[in-house]
Amino acid sequence: MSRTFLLILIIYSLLLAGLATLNGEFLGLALPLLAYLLVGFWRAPEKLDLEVHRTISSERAAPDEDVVVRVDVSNRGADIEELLLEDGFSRALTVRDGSPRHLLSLKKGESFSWTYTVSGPRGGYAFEALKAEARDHSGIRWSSHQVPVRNELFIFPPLTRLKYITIRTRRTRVYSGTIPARMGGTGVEFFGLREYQPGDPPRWINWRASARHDETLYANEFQQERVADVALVLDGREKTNWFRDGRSLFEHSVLATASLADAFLSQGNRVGLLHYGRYLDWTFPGYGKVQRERILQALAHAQTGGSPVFSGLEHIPVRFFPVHSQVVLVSPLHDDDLDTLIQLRARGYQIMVISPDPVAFELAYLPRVPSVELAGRVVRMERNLLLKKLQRAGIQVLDWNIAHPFDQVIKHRLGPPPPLFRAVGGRL
Amino acid sequence: VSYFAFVTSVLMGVGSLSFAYAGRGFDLVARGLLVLGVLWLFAGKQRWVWFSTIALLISVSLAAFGLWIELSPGWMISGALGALLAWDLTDFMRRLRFAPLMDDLRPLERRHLTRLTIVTVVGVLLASIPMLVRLEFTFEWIMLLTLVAVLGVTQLVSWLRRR
Repeated sequence: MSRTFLLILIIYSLLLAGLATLNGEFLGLALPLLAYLLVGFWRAPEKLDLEVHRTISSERAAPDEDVVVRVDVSNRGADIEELLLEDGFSRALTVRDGSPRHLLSLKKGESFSWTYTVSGPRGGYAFEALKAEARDHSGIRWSSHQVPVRNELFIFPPLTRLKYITIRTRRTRVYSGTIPARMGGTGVEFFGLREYQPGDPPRWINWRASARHDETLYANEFQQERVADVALVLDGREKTNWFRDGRSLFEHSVLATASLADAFLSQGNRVGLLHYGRYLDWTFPGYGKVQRERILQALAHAQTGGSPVFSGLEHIPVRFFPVHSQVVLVSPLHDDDLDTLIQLRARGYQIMVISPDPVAFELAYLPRVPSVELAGRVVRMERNLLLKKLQRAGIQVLDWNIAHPFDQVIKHRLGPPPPLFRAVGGRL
Repeated sequence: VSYFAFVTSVLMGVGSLSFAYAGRGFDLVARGLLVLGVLWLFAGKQRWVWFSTIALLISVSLAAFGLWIELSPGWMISGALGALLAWDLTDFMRRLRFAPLMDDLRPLERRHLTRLTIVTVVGVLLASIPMLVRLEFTFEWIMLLTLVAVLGVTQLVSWLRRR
């Protein structure tokens, strides 16, 4: 029941009672209530005219990093007796210090500023409007207003810097980069010999080979190094990521994807991201720092999803990926994914699977009793079999036990080959 | 400060009514009012804001009934005023709870209590007029007041329907 309605009800009841009993004292009883009500109406707040500025110490932060939010409010309208200000932001953020809400009295032309500190998990958070509610002292009348001030805070996934990732695609782009293009030309690594052509630098001449032939000079050819198209596919399916007691591998997959994107872009490649789960979220391929920002923003928003349409990998839209490009799937994998990945490989894509190990992840939380160990061994065998089948199909597989840091695993398995192996054109 | 004012208001409201009723031999009502006061204080502590509305309705009703059975008008008005103040302060304390601990609420509380005191004084003065000046309700006065009451109720109903 509204306070105004209650007071009016009491006042009229007393008035009617006074009339019914012809007793003027009832009116006397109603008068203090009437005075209270009228003062409330008289001092009712006018339309709010507030100027609000919000600044955030950092629009990009790491998970659980403190971000200081400062809010400045100026009253450009009439005096406000009681003003409740509440800054609006996502409930997923935690207030670490200060308060987003304040109750104060603000005279015309006065300003009020305050700061508070928030932190939160990975995500994209919008600071929408500042909610302002003005009241008179009696609380009879109030005026509520949302002042639109938009800010955004991106909490990016933690990023592990990877120095170099070796990939070999069947097709490269025209720009020079770091990926061997299987074509002779300018480069660093020896590729082959060809007849010397006018314009070749003299230091390219292979004097030993030329000495064996009369009147013919031979020049060294080097392997061209170019950039490539890389499509990162982040598996966000609930069935592959979620385990008992609400534990999830998804954050590890996001970390791996972010690190890979950063590394591939640093090498000059054209990188796109497909988040496959609740729906398809495709970040169009691009180069450089802007693309890095786009991918990190997409990863900040990435969530798992249980859509029945995308429960299998068969709906991966291959038309998004350039022909013969490198596809990197980050997924804990499911038995049903084997056929789809083999089909992708058969279409000519160079497939790499980075698979956070779900068996080791789940076993780490289970009691070490014989039955669990036996079950673990069986599941481990099934997974090993799946990975072997993938490798036999020509798919590069990296089984990542998340107990080990991602950068170390990548350095060991996908880092630059030692110089000895580089001379023979690859690694073991 | 606000809680102290709230306790004082409850004591003033319930105490005045109880004293007047006990003076006329309505011991049961007086005891009931004291129980209401205790419950009101307990509800204030427990932050049951809704209880204040019920207590205000009961207090004003008993003040009106007291006037009808010709109990002292001063005590009745004092009782109704105390209940009004306690009801106001309950809501004010509820609003204060929205403020974080670091806010300095003393100026806000001081201004509120000053305003409330002024309203109380004005209310008492206004209420004293009909007590001191005994007006005879002539037929014209009754018609005028009835007309005002009917118009008021009609306005109230239309306002509620619009909401």
